Amino acid sequence: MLAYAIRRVAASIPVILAATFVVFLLVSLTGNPVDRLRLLDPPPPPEVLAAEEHRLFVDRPLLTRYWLWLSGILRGDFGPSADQHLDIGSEVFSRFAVTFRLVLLAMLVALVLAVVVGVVSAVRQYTVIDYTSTFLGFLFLAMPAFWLAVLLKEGGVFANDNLGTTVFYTVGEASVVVEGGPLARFADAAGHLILPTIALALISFASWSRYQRASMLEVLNSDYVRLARAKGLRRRKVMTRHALRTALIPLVTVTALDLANIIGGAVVTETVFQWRGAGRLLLDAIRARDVHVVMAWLLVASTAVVLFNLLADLLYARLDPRIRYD
Amino acid sequence: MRRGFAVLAVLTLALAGCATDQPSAGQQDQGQTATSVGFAECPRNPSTCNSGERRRGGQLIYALEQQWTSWNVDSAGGNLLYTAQALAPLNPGVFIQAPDAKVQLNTDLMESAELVDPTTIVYKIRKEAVWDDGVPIDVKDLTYLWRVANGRDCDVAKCTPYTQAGFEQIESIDSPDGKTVTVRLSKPFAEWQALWGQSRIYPAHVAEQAVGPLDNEANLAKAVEFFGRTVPTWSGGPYKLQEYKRGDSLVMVPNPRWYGREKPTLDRLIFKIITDVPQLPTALANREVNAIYPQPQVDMVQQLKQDQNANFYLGPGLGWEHFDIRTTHEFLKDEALRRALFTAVNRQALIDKTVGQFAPGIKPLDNYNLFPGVSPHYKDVITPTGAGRGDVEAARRVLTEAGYTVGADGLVTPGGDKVPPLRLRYTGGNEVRKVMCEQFAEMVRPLGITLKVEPTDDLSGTLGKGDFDIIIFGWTGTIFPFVQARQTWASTSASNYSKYGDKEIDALIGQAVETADQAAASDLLNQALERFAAGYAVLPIYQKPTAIAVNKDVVNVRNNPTADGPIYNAKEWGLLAQ
Repeated sequence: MLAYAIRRVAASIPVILAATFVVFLLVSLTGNPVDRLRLLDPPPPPEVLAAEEHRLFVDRPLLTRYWLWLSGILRGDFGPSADQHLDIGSEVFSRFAVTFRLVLLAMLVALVLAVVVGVVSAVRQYTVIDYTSTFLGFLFLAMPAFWLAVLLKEGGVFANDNLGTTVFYTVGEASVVVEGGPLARFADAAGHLILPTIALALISFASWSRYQRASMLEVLNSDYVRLARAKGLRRRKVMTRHALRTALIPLVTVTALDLANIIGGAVVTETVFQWRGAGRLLLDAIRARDVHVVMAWLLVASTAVVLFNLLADLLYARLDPRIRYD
Repeated sequence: MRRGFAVLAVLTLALAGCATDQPSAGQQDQGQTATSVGFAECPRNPSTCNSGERRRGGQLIYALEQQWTSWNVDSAGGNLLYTAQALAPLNPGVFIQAPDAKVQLNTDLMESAELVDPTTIVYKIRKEAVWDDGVPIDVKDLTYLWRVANGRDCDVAKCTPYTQAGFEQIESIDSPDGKTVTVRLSKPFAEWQALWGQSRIYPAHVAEQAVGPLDNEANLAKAVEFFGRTVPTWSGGPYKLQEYKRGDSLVMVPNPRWYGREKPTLDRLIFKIITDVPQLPTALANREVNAIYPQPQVDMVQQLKQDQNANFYLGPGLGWEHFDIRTTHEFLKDEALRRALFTAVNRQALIDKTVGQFAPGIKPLDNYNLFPGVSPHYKDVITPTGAGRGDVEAARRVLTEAGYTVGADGLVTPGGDKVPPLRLRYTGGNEVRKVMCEQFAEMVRPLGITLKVEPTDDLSGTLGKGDFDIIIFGWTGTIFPFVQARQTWASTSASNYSKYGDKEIDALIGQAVETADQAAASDLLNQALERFAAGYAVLPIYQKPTAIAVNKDVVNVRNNPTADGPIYNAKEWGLLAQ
């Protein structure tokens, strides 16, 4: 198993390298990060602009710039940022910590909801519950993430107005100043977390619940489930011990593959809710043509996706005894 | 959906149950117990509107739209509007730019600042004025900035000043006692009030402790870098910084050593960075921020107007939009073609179709650097050129007299060449600019001219490379117009993207910059701008409005279109007394 994991990680390194090269070219060719200074009113002296271009490697050929970045990475140096005082390494990791908190919680919520709704829909096929969950699933699937987030924010403000106190927050991960003990801080953090988590979770829940329903229906109609029932096992036991376990395998695959999508969704959610996470970092970096920040972001995100997919593969073996990795 | 709201309601109640009896500072009461007079008086009394008696205590959260890269607002990399606003309560200036767009002496810091003759300025700093560590604010602090910006004591590539204007003309700074400072200039400088006024004063002694004596280039450059990377531990203003969360917020508390006559009443002044502007109205409605100063957009204005718990004001700004023609273009180098384009465009119609929808009073702007209602020396330099009136017939005559003809495929030059489609570019995502460009294209179609409207995602790159035939963009504007005019319109300036100009314009602007008398300097500038306007290279469209909105219990926060912004009077900000 360990050898398999090492092989998988090693195989992904060339893919990540190729991705960094393409992204480096794309971002570098979109513009010069020093141009933002040229539009200042008044613009700085030309000598200042030249010095800034030299600091950011912009005055060198593209391939040299890529090599400078790559060789820096090997030394643990993420390169200079357009923000002169930014330590790219620590900034990217701290931002991803914020994002992963949101993403993992949203995935957990979406998974639990998807499994419950998917299973219930399958078991109660063509009932009111099934039709309702199908309707909701397609509704959330069709709804753009940013619009859902904006609707939730409006709902939060409406709820606050009627409650006479602020329970739901619409910007940031926490209030700037929270007076009171741990309970107040917990309530504040929860108040900030709840709307973005729902916004991010509902989109994934919608598709996952459909997968879970289809998978569960397939398993329920399989011979071994019928055999288990024929042997006299109780329905609940057949469902949980035999059917559900098998029906979870496709969902594990989809969940792992969807991580990149969810991080993409988090970019939108973080923007609307003004979380200071990796999504905002990426958008700000792209706007500023801050290529080294974009590259660091890409490295962390792609590594996370590789590791998550590896984790999914390892989970298969856990869920399905027929699968073995040598 | 009902189920969704039911879930929301349950969660609401659950969380309400979790909350402590005493709401936290972040969980402010939703209800407002007092209502300020609001902004109704702002058009007549811009510097006193929304005044009110303040209660002691409380916190006020002011939203900023951008995070900054450097704390040194006097350096090229740090000279951002938002950095300047965040530093205003900490780093004083000799002058204040007030909401009525006038320059006022900062009487907390200064006893006086006078131009005693065209090349001599005498500053008297109040003896009570000290940094929060008790060190006097004095000549050392003024000298530090002069030395990093004059280009002689420190190479500009190393000290990276955002401007050298005026500082390069200072020959000497003398002071017998540290508080009375005599500055001698090599030649007169029209905008002498911008010196240590538009720039901010930093504590030289703090830099000296960090990098050593500020008497050599190396240490000066280190000091610039030090002030850029160091989160302010100092204050010479009404507040001091208590906590900074990078890119998220700043918490300021009253400076116990504040020497000003007006004392802050707030327990905390908080700056919250919200970079996605459309989110600001919701945050204000939810009282997560109490004051916002966003770039106005149609949807946002509608949303703010409907907010029953907020006061909202749309006022005149100093930023302005304009069309620039690249005069090095093969066809557009001909003045007749440029003149016809600008004569055919109807600026009022462009305004009515766009920003006029939410700010009905906006009129076309007829000057490049002096604004109506801001400068007493404002002069209409556009109307005499006939540009911007939408007179298609006049435009046709211009072309006919110049020998142009209209063929089946469009306009043909006197030399028989067909004028190709011209690229009119705008910033992608900016709907106002897009609609203006589309309307412009419609207006000149009868002349046989085709404008191809194209977005750009990289405005600065597009401008820098001259990758346009015509382009719409904005300048921020300032109440110090002369240096700005030189940097924007001089024929050799990199910021003159139209590339139009001549030596006479350069000379007139140069004389204006070096004329101490404001009226005489303005007259010279207007002469230069009249000549510039007659080149039909840049057409001002309109002055951009500014928007401010505050919760109804917030007082003394008001629109300030100058570079100082609403924060100019942070010491007076507060919550209305019951």
